Amino acid sequence: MHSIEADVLVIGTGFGAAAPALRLAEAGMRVTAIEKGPHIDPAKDLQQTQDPQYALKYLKSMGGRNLGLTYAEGLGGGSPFYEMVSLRAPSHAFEQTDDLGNRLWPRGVDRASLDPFYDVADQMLRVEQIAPHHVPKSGLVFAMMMKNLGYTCERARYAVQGCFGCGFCVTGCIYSAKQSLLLNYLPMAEAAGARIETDLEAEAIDTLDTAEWVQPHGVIASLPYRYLVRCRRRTGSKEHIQFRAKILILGGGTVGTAKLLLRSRESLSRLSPHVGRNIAFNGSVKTAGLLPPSFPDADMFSGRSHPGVISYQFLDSHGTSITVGKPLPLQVIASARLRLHGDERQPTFWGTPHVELMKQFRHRVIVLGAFGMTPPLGWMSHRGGDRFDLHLDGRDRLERYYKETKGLLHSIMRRNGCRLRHADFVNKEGVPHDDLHFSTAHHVGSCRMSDSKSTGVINSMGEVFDYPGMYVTDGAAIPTSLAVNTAHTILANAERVAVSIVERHSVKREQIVASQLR
Amino acid sequence: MSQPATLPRARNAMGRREALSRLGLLSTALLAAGCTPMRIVLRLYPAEFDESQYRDSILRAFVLTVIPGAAQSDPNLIRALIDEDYPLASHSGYLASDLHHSSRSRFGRSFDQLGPDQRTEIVLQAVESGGTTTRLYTGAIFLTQIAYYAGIYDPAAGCRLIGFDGRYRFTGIQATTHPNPDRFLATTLTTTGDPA
Ligand SMILES: Cc1cc2nc3c(=O)[nH]c(=O)nc-3n(C[C@H](O)[C@H](O)[C@H](O)COP(=O)(O)OP(=O)(O)OC[C@H]3O[C@@H](n4cnc5c(N)ncnc54)[C@H](O)[C@@H]3O)c2cc1C
Repeated sequence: MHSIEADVLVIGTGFGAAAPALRLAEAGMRVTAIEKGPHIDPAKDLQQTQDPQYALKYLKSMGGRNLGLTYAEGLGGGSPFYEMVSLRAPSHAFEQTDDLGNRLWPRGVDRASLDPFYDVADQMLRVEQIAPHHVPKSGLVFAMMMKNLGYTCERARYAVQGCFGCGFCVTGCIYSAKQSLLLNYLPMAEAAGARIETDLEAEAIDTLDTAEWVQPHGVIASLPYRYLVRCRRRTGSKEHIQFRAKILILGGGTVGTAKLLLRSRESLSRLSPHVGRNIAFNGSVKTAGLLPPSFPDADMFSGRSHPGVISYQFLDSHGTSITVGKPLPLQVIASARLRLHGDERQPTFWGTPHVELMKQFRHRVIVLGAFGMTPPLGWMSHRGGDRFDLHLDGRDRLERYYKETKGLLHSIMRRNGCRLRHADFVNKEGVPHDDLHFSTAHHVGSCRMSDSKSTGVINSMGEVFDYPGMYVTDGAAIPTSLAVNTAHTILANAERVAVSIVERHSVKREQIVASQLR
Repeated sequence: MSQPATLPRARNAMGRREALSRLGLLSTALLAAGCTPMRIVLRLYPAEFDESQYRDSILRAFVLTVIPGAAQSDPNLIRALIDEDYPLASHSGYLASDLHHSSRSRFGRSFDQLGPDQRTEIVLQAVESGGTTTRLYTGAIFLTQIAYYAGIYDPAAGCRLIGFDGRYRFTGIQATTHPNPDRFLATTLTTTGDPA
């Protein structure tokens, strides 16, 4: 077996992994980042297509009876395929508590403490608020709906430069307008000396005999090799490679990191029992309606994939933000059976009534979506090997939330004169879920940060309890739903943890922050 | 569903069981053998329905039933149903056979010779019949809709029926928005777009 030594091994290349890979390489450490998904060259590999085979090459999912999680696997993690929405989480999100009234975020981590790192993330991804004359039609129509009711609405913020609204953000930007991690963190990390390998999956983590279970301080050269990570190439010879690392950064995403730790539980016997638990899913609720004739056309298929606007009107009162969806045909058919409320014609989800509806889909349909601060009630269990199950607790509470939120969205539609469309959300075979079901790409928290091992997996600085030098820096670390899109908070937190790791190993914090802002 | 009138060449029952177990459309979801009605698992159907002329004309009629108004001249009309990359391919002969025999026994004619209402009736009955038949037809409808509306075999063409243009052709940002956007925009709570 091929064996490699690294000061720092980073697992994954998404938002949580890319920042530590760059910052630790900049600090002079020997960094290797490994990515289980394929290499992506935006000019060669990304396509404007609706071919499910293409989508499934990169977009993966994990499904349970009541919860479905979608994420990307490939160089850059979710960043090549995300909708570029780059929002800070509201202060309110950091103050969420558990049933006993204990704050879910650890002491010292809140919006104010993350703001300097959001600034860095904004700068790195060139985040800007969308200009009014770039807001897609569907976004303007939504803004008009909110305005009609006397509600507020904001132009959202995006990691994009020079976008001309081709509408294919979610299949990957072939023009490199989207500021995915492929354009900034990852090439910069390589330029700083990091090595990035794709098609290489970390399968298990073990501790090395030499490990001294004390807090690792001092320059990196003086640290012992603590962790052994067994990996397997996913292509060609499928060779096995093992890494010995002094510092291990887990950035495999909420699903990937939890799976890796659950698979390694036998050799990491001091892990918190919370691994795989407390998954928050941003309470995503969607509903659709037909615009009344008094409204101008919306447009599902042109303009950036996210429609440019978001409303925080109900953030304080309901803990939700509201926006509109702009699904392309593949996304809409693969996720829901649509029909008009009150249309009793048969058949309901195919044939003439369905075609009539699909003909109106592009310009006359509006899809409202809410993200809410639902509690972290999802969890993952390991059946052995590569088999994992996903569960959701708290059905009654969630049903109440779902009903209330849907009621709110319906009310916005109705009061604007929209005719509601019934949407049966379907599974991968096109069959409606027979139970309450949340699907999201904004899952976080499977290895959450917390003040103590009795409530979480890592401490406020991202370090795994009882495993010095092992950090979780991705979505898995984030303890609560955010009520806005997750990537920017994951990135800001990863920047924060990266600074503290560098600081620990003798590089001055001010120098790092200054270099980040340079 | 009706039984085939004749069984010219029998299929291997185990092979069909394996094929049915791969019914999961976009996943490798397993069909528990215990839930699969024996009449389907063990039913033998004429191999002529794996051969293109019968099968294809029936499948074309099926697609036009699911999506009335689909372009009959579209060369990719039934491709997803017989594409080995999708799990329906191994069931398309059976699907055609089932449509054929149901319409024969109900209307005395082959499915592709029926009028739109009769075809709809046949498919509706199959969709509502429960068990594996429902799964098979639901899966076939689902794949048909994905393939046609998303234009999966011709990214440049999209789907004219629903106004999906497919691959982007430069129109400029102004084509994606309305003029004078400020007239639409509501009052704001923030100056930056980030929540407080
Ligand atoms: C279609 C889509 C659109 C989205 N749009 C937005 C948006 O507009 N704004 C927003 O804020 N969020 C958006 N999100 C969510 C956002 O992409 C995620 O929150 C974010 O990518 C999560 O970051 P992460 O670092 O936790 O993990 P990821 O970005 O998912 O990265 C994890 C990486 O680790 C790799 N990996 C996992 N396990 C292993 C292993 N064992 N060995 C090696 N590598 C491994 C994975 O392949 C993956 O590449 C979107 C998500 C999707 C799917």
